[in-house]
Amino acid sequence: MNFNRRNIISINDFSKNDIIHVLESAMKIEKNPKKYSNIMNGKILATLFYEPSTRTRLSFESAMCRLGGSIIGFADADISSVKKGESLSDTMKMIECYADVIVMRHPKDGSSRLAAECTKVPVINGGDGANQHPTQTLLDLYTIKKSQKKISGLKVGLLGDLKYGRTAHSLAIALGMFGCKLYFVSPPELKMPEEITRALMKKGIEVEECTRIRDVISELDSLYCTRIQKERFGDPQEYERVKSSYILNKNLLNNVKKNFKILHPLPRVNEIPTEIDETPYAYYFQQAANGIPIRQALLALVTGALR
Amino acid sequence: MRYKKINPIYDGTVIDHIPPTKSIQVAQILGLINHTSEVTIGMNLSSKKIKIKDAVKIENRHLSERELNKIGIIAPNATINIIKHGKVIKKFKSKLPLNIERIVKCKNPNCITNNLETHTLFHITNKIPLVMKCHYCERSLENDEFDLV
Repeated sequence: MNFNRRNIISINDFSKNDIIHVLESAMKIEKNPKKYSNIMNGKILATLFYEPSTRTRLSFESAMCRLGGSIIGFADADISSVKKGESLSDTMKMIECYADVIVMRHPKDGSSRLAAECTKVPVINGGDGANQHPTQTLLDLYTIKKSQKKISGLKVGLLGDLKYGRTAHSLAIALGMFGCKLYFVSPPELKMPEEITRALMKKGIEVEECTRIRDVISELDSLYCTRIQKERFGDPQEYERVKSSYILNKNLLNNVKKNFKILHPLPRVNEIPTEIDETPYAYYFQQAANGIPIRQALLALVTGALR
Repeated sequence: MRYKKINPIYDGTVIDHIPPTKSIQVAQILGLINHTSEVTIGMNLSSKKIKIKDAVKIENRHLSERELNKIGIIAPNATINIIKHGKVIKKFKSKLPLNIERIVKCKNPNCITNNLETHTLFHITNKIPLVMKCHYCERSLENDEFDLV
């Protein structure tokens, strides 16, 4: 399998084998970090962040440092030539003279694919509006694999805002490739888009939709929580009425499976109270740490430093 | 007595078997309002094949591939007749291309194609009913939901 010069834009561009290859590469790097600590020596990563990010940008930069490479870029479009009106296409053409790989976050949907078409340097999508965030999906899958020793056939719940949450959409599609049974738990206003549910069911994936986590939590191997934002509700009273149904508490964990693990892309607000951090089921901080080996693997694969 | 509803043309294109009411849209996308030769638009004509049809006859005009693609979106399975010296020299069905470039606008206001000067591109994911997916923002548009560029 050859990832050299490949753009990482959408999880929809990945086959199951592609995903397995990335996860296995990340595992190799994580197990033997010294062996890979100089494979990007002499290579430069450009991080182009047109909107704020903490975890994605810093974990990419950390990943590049740990592979022995260097970093250039901006974390605020206001201080770059974008403010002077430079087009995305011109920025990409210019950056390709300076860097071997580009990571980009941009507020507009589809911007990463367009950017990748404007440059010969591989582009990794660090989030394009509400559309895709493929490296988050890959690290979510890596986390599930590490915590459960497998992905295939697991029962995975997705909880919270499934309508607007791009991480939930991409993860559902990817878990579908591994034949997982999926439980979509959300208020009716924030249901998983019909298009995604229909596509999964068409592929023979078992999908169960419900509105209360307590009805299904005991069946799950992993639960992926997302934040419900007040502004998504037309009626603030409706938000107040439903919000507690999507906040975990210790009592809900009484009957969960032994191997049960809670994941969250972070930042969390109140959907996972800190009391849960101490339980053996909390796995979201390890999940954030998993961003490093996954991003190391992707940087190394698309630059040809790793086969 | 059968009388001819539309005069035959000597040189040009006849688009037949257009679904009823779609002929105006076909005329619009081909910019026929600015066409200086004869244009005939027939609506709700009786048809042996599809019971009711629309048809458009355009004198002195041959269609480009891009225009044929546009017709394929609005009127899949329309019959295109190329007329020269009063005779049909070529007859074929309009076809939906696999990719639709620079023809349809994306409905997603946050799509990069609605925010930067760049062309649109859609991939057909289902023919009946017609569903196409934006190459950039990955949103799907369904039957009749699309606006032309």
